[in-house]
Amino acid sequence: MLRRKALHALLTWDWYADYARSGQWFNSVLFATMTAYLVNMLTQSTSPGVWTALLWVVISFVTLQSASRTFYLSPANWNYINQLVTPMEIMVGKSIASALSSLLFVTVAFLFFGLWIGWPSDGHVLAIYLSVAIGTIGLSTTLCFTAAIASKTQAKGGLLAILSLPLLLPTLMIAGRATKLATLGVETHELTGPWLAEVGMAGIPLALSGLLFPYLWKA
Amino acid sequence: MKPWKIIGLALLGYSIVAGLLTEAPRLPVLNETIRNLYYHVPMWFTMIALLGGSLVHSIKHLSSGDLVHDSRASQHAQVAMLFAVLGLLTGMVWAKFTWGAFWTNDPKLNGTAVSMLIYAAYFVLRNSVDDAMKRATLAAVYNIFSFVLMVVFIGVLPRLTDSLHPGNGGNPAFSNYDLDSNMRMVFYPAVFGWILIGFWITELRRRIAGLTNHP
Repeated sequence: MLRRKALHALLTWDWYADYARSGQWFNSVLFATMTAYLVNMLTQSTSPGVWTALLWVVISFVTLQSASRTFYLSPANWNYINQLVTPMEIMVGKSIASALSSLLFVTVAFLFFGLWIGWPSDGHVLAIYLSVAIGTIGLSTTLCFTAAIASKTQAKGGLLAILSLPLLLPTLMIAGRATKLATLGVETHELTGPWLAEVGMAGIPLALSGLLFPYLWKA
Repeated sequence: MKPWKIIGLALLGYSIVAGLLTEAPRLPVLNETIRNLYYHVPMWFTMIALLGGSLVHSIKHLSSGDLVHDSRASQHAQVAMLFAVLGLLTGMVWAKFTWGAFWTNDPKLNGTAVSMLIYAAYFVLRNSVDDAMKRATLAAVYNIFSFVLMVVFIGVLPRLTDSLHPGNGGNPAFSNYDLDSNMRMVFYPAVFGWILIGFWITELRRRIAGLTNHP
């Protein structure tokens, strides 16, 4: 059973830790901007397919960077949080916080990407953004769980990417397809199917995380 | 020798010989390479069966805390990867003769490559933790999480996108037009035979690990 009060406490905690009392958020904003600029430097003109692929490469990097901090807490802070909320609440709360943060940084990257590389001429920007936003939530729910696993090991850094990237591919494929259709300017009703598939790909990892995190928490 | 091993050997022997000697449909492009169906497809069935075994042991570990199940999960995954490599190699040879290239950007091939990467990550995770109990729990959790996403990737996604493989993306499945009764008589024994041999190899790995003091 999820308590609203517990989720609120976790979200408030993350807000203070990442935004209100530290400049952690700025690192991610800078990273998102730099990645989008790097892609701009490496390419001149792109087809809708290449545009979509490059955008999702940028989004993958940004969400990965954002998720790497999700479970980065001192043992004392963990002890305090564990007294306030249950393991399932931690996972769901962290997933929501991670999804919101990723969404913010991906929005920044998306805007700069469009600014520098340009928008596809036939595409609807809002439809493209919706495909990107739902896909980002899917990526961040998977990444949040793998970040929880990686945080329990001695190996830091690279392990999160190794554990996560293969698991992100189903979401990336579905989200990439939805984005490509949006860049080609297809009607909104034709995008409903891919968007629902994206929602499904966000829900599966979240449900699995809720079920499995109590075991991780014990470890 | 236990009966299931004898059955496995018999089915395998039969399918290898019958696969080369029995009548196969004469189909354009595929020609005689259609016989590779008996050797290529069973590798994937065996891989999935072994990964299913690995999943069951991971669930058992989480519910009991017994480290033996963690070892079993790892051994099943290792042998599954052997079959994944064999499936990939037999598929690449088949692809070269029918599609003209060893590797194509096909969702099923990508799914297989990703499955191998997922389980490579599983082994990396196992090597990243020193404490046996912690390693077992983390590996079990990752295994369950990965298996579900892998099933989505190799089972569902290829059906949503275009694929050169039969039965996917609008291509007719073998059962619809060319897996005739002659082929079924060899194909199904081959699948069951290879699965039994896969579990036999896993048991041998378990016994070797037992001799070297790893449960």
